[in-house]
Amino acid sequence: MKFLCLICAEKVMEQMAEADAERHFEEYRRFTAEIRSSGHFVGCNRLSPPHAATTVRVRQGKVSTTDGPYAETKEQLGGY
Amino acid sequence: MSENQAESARAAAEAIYRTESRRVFATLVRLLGDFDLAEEALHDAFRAALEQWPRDGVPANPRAWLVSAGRFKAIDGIRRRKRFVAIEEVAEQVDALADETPQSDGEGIEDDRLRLVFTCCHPALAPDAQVALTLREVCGLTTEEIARAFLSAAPTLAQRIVRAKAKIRDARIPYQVPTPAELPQRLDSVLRVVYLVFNEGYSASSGESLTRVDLSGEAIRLGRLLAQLLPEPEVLGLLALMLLQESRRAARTSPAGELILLSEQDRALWNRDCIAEGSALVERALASQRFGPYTLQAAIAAVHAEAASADATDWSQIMGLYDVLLRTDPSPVVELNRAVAVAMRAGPAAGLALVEAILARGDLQDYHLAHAAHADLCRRLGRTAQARASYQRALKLTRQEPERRFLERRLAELPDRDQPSRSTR
Repeated sequence: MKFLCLICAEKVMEQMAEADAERHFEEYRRFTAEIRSSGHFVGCNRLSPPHAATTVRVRQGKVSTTDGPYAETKEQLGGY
Repeated sequence: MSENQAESARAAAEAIYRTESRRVFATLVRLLGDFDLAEEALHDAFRAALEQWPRDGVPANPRAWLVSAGRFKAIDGIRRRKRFVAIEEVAEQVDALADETPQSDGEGIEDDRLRLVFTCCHPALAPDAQVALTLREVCGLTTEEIARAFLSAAPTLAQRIVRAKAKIRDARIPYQVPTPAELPQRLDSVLRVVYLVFNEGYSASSGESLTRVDLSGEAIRLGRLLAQLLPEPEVLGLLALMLLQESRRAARTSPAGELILLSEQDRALWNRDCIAEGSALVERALASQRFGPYTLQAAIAAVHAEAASADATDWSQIMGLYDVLLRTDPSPVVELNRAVAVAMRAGPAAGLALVEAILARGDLQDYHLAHAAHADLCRRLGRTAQARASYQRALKLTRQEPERRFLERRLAELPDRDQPSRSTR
């Protein structure tokens, strides 16, 4: 079993007093060091801030039907 | 120059027109920055070739000759028209053209045709308009051929193309190489264009021959350039699909030009190099786990390519791949082909029920292959009257001679009346 720990804090750290932020970071570092030494650590990374995100939307949801190079009909004409 | 040499120079000009005219056109669009001007210059250049080549011989590099002739004709034309336009503007235009020398560009897209494909796929145009415009202007498909690829009527398509050209002009959409950052968002339309050009080469929508090697060859060439530019899984998947379907070309037509069904093809004629390259590409695309409809179609093609005989075809796997394809990219054409695979796996009655459901929805009423498939499944079930009606319907809709002759043969072979005990094969 693998667990994914999400730290959901959009810009919270940036808005804290410096000493508080530093304390949070220290707790976080301690936790990481613990799971590292107990062998439970797999990987970690910081996500980019929201302004760097790209949202993908499907525009005009329906795309036209087109023909295609399908052997099932075209090289059999439905038959054999 | 003798009469013979003059004749062969004319033949060379005609052959080059058939194979190279759209490439010359793409370069002229880049140099002149305008579709209509480029079209005119293209025809002036070929007119000059037909006059000069029989007299002076075919130049060493005919394409470069044509580009340069077209460019000078365009400059002449602009000068001639100058009394109608503000004089400075003309001077500017002529200077710009005269400075431009054929060059390789360092911006990624080396090939003018591929560059123009990307330009036509500008996001300001509706996706279908992008594809239609590209097929018409860059690949030289006729409006009728494009209409058939989109399963729609030619006048609708013609209107779409005219509107797209007007929009490019009015909105001053520049003819320029997209930056590397813009390439991915234009990729969907570009892949669809290459796919549809290949499709027209794989089975021509009209005319005397089953396939058109000029179009499938060009599509594969563009596919290779794309794969170098952006080796995304779907780009590799599309190239794989084209190579695998192309591998059977020689086996698909008899020397007399009659079409040969998959089950009767001489598999020794299949091109093993194409199959090996295509299969390796499919594997790479599948391994990425970010594949889509083109890779799935290529995987289906690979199953056929790897079958030692028609009987050894793994129809269960083909059906499974069609199930996934239908979920990824739902379309009545995919459903129809899946129905044929079902018929091969589970018998004609199971396939027929699916084909009838598709036709009953009205989706593929004008698609000749839907009626041909219906006819064939009815024939195999001994439902002669229904088979006859569907063959006749398919015959009315097909515009391609080898297909028409095939359907006529099948129609002539039908027994006079329904034969319930007929074998299902």
